Amino acid sequence: MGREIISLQAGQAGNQIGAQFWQKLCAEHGITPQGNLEEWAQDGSQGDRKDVFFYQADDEHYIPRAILIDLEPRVINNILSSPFKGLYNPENIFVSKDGGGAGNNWAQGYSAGERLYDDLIEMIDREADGSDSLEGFMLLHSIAGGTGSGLGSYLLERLSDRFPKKLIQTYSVFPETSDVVVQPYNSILAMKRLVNNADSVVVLDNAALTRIAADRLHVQDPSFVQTNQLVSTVMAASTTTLRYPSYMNNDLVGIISSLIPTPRCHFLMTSYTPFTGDEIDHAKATRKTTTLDVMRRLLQPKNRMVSTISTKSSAYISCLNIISGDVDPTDVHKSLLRIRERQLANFIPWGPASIQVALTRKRGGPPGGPNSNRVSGVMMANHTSINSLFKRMLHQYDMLRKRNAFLEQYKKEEIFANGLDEFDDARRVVAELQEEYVAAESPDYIDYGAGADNHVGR
Amino acid sequence: MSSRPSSSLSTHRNRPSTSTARPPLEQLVYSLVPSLAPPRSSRLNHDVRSGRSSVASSRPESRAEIDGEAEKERKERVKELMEWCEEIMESELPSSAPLSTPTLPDTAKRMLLQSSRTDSRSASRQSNRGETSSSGSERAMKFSGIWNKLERGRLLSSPLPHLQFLLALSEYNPDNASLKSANTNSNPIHSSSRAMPPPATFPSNQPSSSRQPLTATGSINLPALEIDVKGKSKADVLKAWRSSKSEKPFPPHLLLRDTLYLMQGIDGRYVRFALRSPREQNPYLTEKGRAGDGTGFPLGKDGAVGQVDEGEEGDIVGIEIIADQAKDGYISKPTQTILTQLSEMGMLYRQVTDFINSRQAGESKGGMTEQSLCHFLHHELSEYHRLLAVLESQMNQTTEQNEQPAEGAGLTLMRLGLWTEEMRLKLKQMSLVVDEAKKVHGGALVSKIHKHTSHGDPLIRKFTDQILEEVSKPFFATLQRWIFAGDLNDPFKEFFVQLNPETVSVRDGRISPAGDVGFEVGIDHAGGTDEAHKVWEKKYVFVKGMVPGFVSEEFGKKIFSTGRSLNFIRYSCGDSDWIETQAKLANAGRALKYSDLAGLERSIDDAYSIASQRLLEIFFDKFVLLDHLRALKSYLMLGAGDFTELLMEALAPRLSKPAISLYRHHLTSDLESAIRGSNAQFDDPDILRRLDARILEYSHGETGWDCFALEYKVEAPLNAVLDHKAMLDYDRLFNHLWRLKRVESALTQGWIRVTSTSKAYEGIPGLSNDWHHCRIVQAEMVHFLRNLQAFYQLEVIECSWQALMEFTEKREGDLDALISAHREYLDRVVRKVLLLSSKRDKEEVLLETVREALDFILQFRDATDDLYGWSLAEATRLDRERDAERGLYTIPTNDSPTISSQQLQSIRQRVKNCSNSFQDRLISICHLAGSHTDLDVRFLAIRIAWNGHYSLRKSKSNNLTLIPSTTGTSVIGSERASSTRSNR
Repeated sequence: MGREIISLQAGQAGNQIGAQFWQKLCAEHGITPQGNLEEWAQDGSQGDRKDVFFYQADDEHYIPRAILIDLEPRVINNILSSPFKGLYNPENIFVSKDGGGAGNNWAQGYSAGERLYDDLIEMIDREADGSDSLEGFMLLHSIAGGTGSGLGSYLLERLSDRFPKKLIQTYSVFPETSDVVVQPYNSILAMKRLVNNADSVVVLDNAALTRIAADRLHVQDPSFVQTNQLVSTVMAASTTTLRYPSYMNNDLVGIISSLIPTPRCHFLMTSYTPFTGDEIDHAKATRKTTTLDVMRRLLQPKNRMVSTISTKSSAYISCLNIISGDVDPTDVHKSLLRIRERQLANFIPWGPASIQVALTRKRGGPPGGPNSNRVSGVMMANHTSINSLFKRMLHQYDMLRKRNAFLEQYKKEEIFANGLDEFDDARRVVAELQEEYVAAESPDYIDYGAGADNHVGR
Repeated sequence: MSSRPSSSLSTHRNRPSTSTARPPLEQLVYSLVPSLAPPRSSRLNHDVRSGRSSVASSRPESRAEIDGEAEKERKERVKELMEWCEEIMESELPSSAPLSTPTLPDTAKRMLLQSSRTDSRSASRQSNRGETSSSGSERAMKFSGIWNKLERGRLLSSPLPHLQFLLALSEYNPDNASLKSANTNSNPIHSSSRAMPPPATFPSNQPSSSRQPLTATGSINLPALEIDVKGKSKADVLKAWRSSKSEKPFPPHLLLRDTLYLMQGIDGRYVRFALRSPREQNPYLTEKGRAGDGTGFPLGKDGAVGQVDEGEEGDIVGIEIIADQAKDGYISKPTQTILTQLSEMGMLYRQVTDFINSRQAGESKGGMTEQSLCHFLHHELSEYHRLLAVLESQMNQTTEQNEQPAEGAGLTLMRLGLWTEEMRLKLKQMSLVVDEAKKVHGGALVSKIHKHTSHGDPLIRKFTDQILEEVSKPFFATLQRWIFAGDLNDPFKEFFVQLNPETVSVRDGRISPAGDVGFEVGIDHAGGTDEAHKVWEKKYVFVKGMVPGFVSEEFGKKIFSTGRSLNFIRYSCGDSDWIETQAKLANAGRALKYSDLAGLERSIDDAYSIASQRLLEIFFDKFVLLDHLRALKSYLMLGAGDFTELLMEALAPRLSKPAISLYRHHLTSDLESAIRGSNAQFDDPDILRRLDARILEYSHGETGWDCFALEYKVEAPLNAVLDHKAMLDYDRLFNHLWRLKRVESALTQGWIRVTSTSKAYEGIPGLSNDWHHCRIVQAEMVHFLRNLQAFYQLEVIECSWQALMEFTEKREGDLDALISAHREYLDRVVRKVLLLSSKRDKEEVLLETVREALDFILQFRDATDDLYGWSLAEATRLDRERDAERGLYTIPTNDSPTISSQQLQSIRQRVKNCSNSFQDRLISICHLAGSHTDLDVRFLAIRIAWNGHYSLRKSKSNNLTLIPSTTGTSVIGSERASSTRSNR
């Protein structure tokens, strides 16, 4: 059937995560690095749908519906020298000819996007035409740097213009404080596009990823590869229901429509448990995990892949647990009752909300393989505490902006040629978002924005 | 001892008759001695009484004699007796009241009361005799009860004379006389009076009033005899008296011969069997009594009732002596008793032979069990014949050697009795069995006989075992065929498994009497379209009454199931590996017989597990039942999400149209493409070909949604499990889940409009609040729907499936267990998916509410679509206005802001109505589900109201009704309304 999803990976982080993601998907579906099927996957009894993320070439081998974009060749060259070099469609790999990169400047990346628009849109159109009924796009990027942030922002704007009825989901890596000096600028500018042009944003926080790698995996000073593996694991897990269809949540819109009630509040946080060695290199297995363990740990803030500051009134707007492995459905039932009993989760006061659970029996990989029956779970949640992230972002931006530091590089680009209004607008959008998330903690959210008509409608 | 009444009579015999007989007296005599009655009955109906009274012995010795002479003698006797009776009554009796006095019963009662006093006086004596003494008042009461019955029942033609006579008789024996005699001969008299045979076949009408005085008095006439009685036993006294009377004893060898005849069931020359006289000739019965309304007659608390009711005319009820005792010698009472006892064997023999003869003549429907019973009886009777032959030769020897049998040698009646004792018990047992065999047959007979195995007498126990061993042979033969071959070979319906008569009649008598091969033909003939479930369920029936006693019912069921499984394997599954099963069974099977019950249980257990296992294997492996169940779960319960969504996508445009425009070939082609496009394509083609799209019957105005159904076809033998009812249940499930899916897809599309693509109309002032509310309500709807679906999927379908899988993994039990496991699974799913309540009449209340809620979701969707349309139009209009302001040329528009704002109001109203109705339904769903009888459904309520939103809702409902109130007719009005709200 259709429901295809085209992945766009932009920038260094995006491509690194993407490489891991495709590696994982191939392993689960039994696709070799060359795109052929493993022996165990050939009889079609897996109950999986490879065509969501792959298509078959004339010679039957599988090709990811992926477009790799970067302004500097290093990461993509790494991919092309890896065993998976034969997997991707070479026509879908775009490396800037000058190879200079975006210099960690959002504006530079954005301008590059404008410049390269024809090349990029040609690739995207080709992919879109190649699918039966395109469900949407998935953008993998970081918002701190230049390419993923700037060029990604540009792509988001163009995609929502060109494919207004297609969903756009992003997996966005939010920066650590010390990554790049100008990252507050980059972040706030990219955030504006994430708010206005994406349907759903899965927020991945570098700080949280590092913390999880240390706490959960007992890996001190994790490498990029390891944190990227964390991200790709979450991505793979949260798309399980798309790839292994069952009764519900078989399409992206099904998943996010239950998670996102209002258009702006579409920033999702994720948890995953348990991480083990077959997902992350050199990770140590902890102990045998029960369904209740999984569901309880998913709710723990320390397992969230976003560092947020929860207050008393922080609440889940919605929550979806995707549990895979050999799960006894009665266990899920019991766990839900236990969670409710102990009030492990706090929910919004203005509407009904609860923990939804989706079961996927298949975990992928060869049958009988290691840990093929292991219970694991991913949580996708819309939680109001994410506003603290935006608050911090605004704060950092304000600190930098107050000093008017590092603005020269931005002013060079066309978009800022007529002034820095774009900065202010982006800040406003993020502030509004932050306010709305705060408002969603109160019962009055039902009437939110009633008096703001003139403001919005300007 | 039988001499007492006769001697008393003989004393009066010589008295001259003083008065003419009064008719009541004559009647009395007739009724006392029926043999003297003028319509002379050839048979005595009460042999014991006749035996007790010597009058009987004075009867003409054979009917062959000339009637005239007999008549003369009879009249003489009657006269004599009447005189005697009269004498009794007119003698020294003080209380002799005139006949037919109404006070007579009272007199009798009084006397009984008095007798209690004498009883207490003579208490020691009574206890000596070992008689149980009831108090006088008790007896008086008993008497009046009896009397009332007699009078009311009008069964005796003249009760008063009877009573009078009995009264007189009791008073006639004065205490002093009895005391005197008691003094003279103390012990023998008492022993003899005790030895007097009880009136076995005729219960005394007045036991308390008549017998008591008689036994107490003993032989009153003895003192009158001039024989020295001192130091002699009573028998000696009697003998002496008899020889004095020149009465010689009856020659014993003649009696012996007769006895041997009797034992063969043949009438002897001097002694013959007494048969029950026809009821009409019972002189004691009034018209009413003879007519059979004998309620008042049987007074005895023992056998009398049964005899009157059950006995057939012509039954042997005892013996009668037809020898002329006056001529050939007397037959003493003890001898008569021995004769009676010995003759019982003859009677039993006759019963048994009668039975055998009647069965062999082919009178009854017969049966193998009965045939083997006859065989066994035959065998035993020849044993009996052999014994008789030995006895006879013994007797001949005795008579040849010596006319008078010497003491200690030869055959005597006593010895005869002793030697035949064992045989008598056997005969008794046989006749018991024969009696039972008349009523029941087959397995029931076997279990009847089996009841005797718990008899306390080891002899009888052993004998019964022998009978059973033989009788159960045909049963075991049938059993063997049944549990090892699954064949019912039971031409006489003796087995506890029988062909269902209903199914037989359906198959128009194809069944040959020898077996059930007709089924094979029937099924083949029907081309396998016959529902296997019916075959399995209805082909054979378990007849509880026919289960032999040594097989418990549970075990019987096992046997039933074993054969049924084999039969099913053979005829319905067409199993090619049948031989393999057969071979396994052959190993398990040993020769089954009654004496090896433990082995039987083992064999049956083995056979049962092999057969059931095999049948389950066939279902799971050959007919891949599990795959079918999984397919039903995937397609009809929408477990295969990708397939469902494709089908929904393909069908949605068609199904929105009126049902009349639906064409089946469109549906099937859509189904086909859904299969090809989804993972269903990898499924077994055999499963896919069973999927079919169907249009249900529809009425006018219905859309395609109402009448579309997905169908899964199953045929025999799969429909033994997936029977018609089960498929109907699957249909119901599909219908409901499909409806849910439709609403889900509608809501998802709604979400794209309302939430995802909201940028298109974001710029319109005054609408953002409307949209915000729409989104909130929509989120509520999504939440409800998702939870309902997740509940169905997880708590209901998956959990039930899990339970079913546990059964299939174990594979225990037989096909019945499989059927019931599936039934349970399906019932559970249906009950919970359709949210059925166990409350009567309210079964579907919750389901109805859910459906209403779903309908409101669809209506809400329509309303928001209109709002969307209006918003886009408004956005265009505003754009044009802006263009006009900027001086750009625009196409003049007809729609004025007022008209469109009116439209907006109506749309808002609709949205509001739908939202409110939906929320109302949802609250009642929460309430209904929260108090549901089913715990899982209660959990659904918990899920929906997880964060307590719905219990909060009630107090806040006032706030909710404020959703864009209709005050503003324009955008500005609406703005004002919302601003007031936000100020609050």
